[in-house]
Amino acid sequence: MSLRSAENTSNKIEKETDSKCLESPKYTCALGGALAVITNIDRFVPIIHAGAGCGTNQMLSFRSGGGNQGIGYINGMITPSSNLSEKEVVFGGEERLAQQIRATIDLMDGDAFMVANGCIAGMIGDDIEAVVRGFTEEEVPVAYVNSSGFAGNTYLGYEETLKSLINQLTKEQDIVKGRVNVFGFVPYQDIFWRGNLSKIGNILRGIGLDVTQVIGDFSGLEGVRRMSSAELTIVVSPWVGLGPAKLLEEKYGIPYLSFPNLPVGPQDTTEFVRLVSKALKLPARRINKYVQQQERQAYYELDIAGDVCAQFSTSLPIAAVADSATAVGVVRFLANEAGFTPTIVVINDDPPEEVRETILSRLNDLRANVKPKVIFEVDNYELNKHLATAYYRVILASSQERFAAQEENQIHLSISYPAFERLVVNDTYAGYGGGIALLEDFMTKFIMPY
Amino acid sequence: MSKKLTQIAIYGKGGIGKSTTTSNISAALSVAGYKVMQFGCDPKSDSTNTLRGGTYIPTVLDTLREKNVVKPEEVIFEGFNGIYCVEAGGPAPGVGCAGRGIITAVQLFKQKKVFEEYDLDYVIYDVLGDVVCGGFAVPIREGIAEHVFTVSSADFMAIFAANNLFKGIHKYSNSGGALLGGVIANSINEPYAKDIVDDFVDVTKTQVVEYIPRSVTVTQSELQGKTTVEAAPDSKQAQVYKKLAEKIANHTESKVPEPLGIEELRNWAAKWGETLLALQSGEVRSAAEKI
Repeated sequence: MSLRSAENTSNKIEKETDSKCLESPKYTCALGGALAVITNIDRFVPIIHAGAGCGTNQMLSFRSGGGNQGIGYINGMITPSSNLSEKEVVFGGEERLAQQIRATIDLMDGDAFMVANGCIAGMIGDDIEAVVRGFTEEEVPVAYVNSSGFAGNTYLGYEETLKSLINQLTKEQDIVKGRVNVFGFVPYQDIFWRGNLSKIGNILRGIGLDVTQVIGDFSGLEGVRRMSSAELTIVVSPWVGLGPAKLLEEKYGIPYLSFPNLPVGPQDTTEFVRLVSKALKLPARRINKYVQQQERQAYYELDIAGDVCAQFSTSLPIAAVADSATAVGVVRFLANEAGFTPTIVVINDDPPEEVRETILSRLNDLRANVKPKVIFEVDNYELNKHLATAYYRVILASSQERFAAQEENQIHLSISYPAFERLVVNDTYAGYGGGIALLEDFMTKFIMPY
Repeated sequence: MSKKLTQIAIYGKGGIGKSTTTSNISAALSVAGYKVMQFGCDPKSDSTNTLRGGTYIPTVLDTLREKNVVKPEEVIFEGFNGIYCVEAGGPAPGVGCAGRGIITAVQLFKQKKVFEEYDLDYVIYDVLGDVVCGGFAVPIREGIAEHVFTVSSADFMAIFAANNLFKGIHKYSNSGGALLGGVIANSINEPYAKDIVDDFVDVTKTQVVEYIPRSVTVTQSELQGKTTVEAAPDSKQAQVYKKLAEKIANHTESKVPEPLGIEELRNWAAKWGETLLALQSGEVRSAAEKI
């Protein structure tokens, strides 16, 4: 398995191998992405149309790898499932699904029900739309998403579910000035999704906007329906969430913008705020005042942390392994504002080819000519080979990289999926104070490693 | 100790006369004194109709759908001359997975050791058309059938289907799958039809087991809900089927065919297309052109 090199930017880029067999991939399947969304919309009841075990598998992966986050309203072991068996494989699972939807509506209290199918239903070609259409007379809406596992990974499931919600549960309505949708945070796959969404929401509310995040708040069905009344959709990722954002533009003419990384620390957060303000033509005075207040607080706190950072090493070499938005956001803060030296960045969410230049461009203009090696790699074995030859003292990665770090006495902090050894509820590195939170988390380990 | 059971699978494009041929082989083997079971592997479930006076029988999968446990006697029905008739059945068109249905039905019989208990000489699987997915390849996999025969006319589509079957056999030949006994050339009336099939078996390194002419006797028999062997046992056509059955009974060694690649098959068909066109316009291209 040779590595193909591409010297098309000043960073040294190595593309991932074309290996057909992945070791410990960093995500689950489309069904996982679908369930991650549905189970985090308030009072939405998911109905899995898949083989017995599919749901349990997702729950186990997310519960353990997603920062040990507990279940929501209807989630985990109580998720209704059609549990397809051989009989349904041969004769089709449509009747079984209809039965399961009926029973779920009768037994469970929810504001909406949403079917997510797995591989079996996709392979045998069950007409889920037709089955769901049979429930249009119900008092509560029944939606569905085609999330056959073989169709793609968690990110695809996330996007397809949002698209299905837009197509099935929203309709044309008046645009509400100052209302924005926020996409890009995939529950569990982004272990900080809840804190990230909440922080980004607070920033946007801070500049006078009305935020619809759909997941992770109490907006529920109302939040879903609100999507079509937004003035703008904000995607906080170079690629995750662009699908539903484009659909909203196509269907309702709602424009979107993509901020290519998680804004970590004052510099990028201000850039984010200014980009949104420009798109919505918000009054400059209000924005300037907000930015000044926030930056003053953030740099004051950064000063406090600065002493200890400088005391140990002003150019601490750091490795980062995460999805594109998180990896780029964290690395930009560490290099541009904390004075550290990221030496290697492994991006493990398999971003589409067309956004890779954008991702690279964000790592190309770092302070003091810091030029980390950037690698797009989803295979854990290959990824570790890259890390083995890299020089770093701190590694911000997933739990899978913990053991290699321990052997070398390096400081390890889980910031990406799967994160088994960390409980995450509201933690976030986003926003003006996000960089400080990151420094606190890993510098604590660095100052007192034993 | 039970006698040696031989399992045979007969494949071919839909509508080519596969079930007609299979039922006549079963009937002829039975008349010759063998204990035979015919196992229809087609969701249409009409393979054994002419062995049972034109009637349909409950299928394995339909029975399995109603209840979880199926007893062999619930799905095995006696037909002409004591032939055991079974239909695998399958889902309604457009739903579920018919291929998985075939797997389920065949595995059920294997698990319950039905073939051994019925003390059979022959089990003949009549399998739907092309090898479209893994399910339809089941009779040639997993040590079920030993010999495969394919029914084909000189029609190019039938030959393409036969070539696909050869690919399936080729694929499983290294893992204990069934091997090819040969081609049963059906509806062979025109001289060029024989030439086309002969050429095809030649390039794919196999053989023609028997040439079966198109005959109105077959149609007449089927209208009575019978095989030709049953309805017109002394007819010329019945003799052809009996001869075919005898050859199959005496057949011992099957081979791995050499299917044509897509491009090769296209070129082969194009060459024959030109020949047929020349034939229609009166040009002499056979061995006679040397005269």
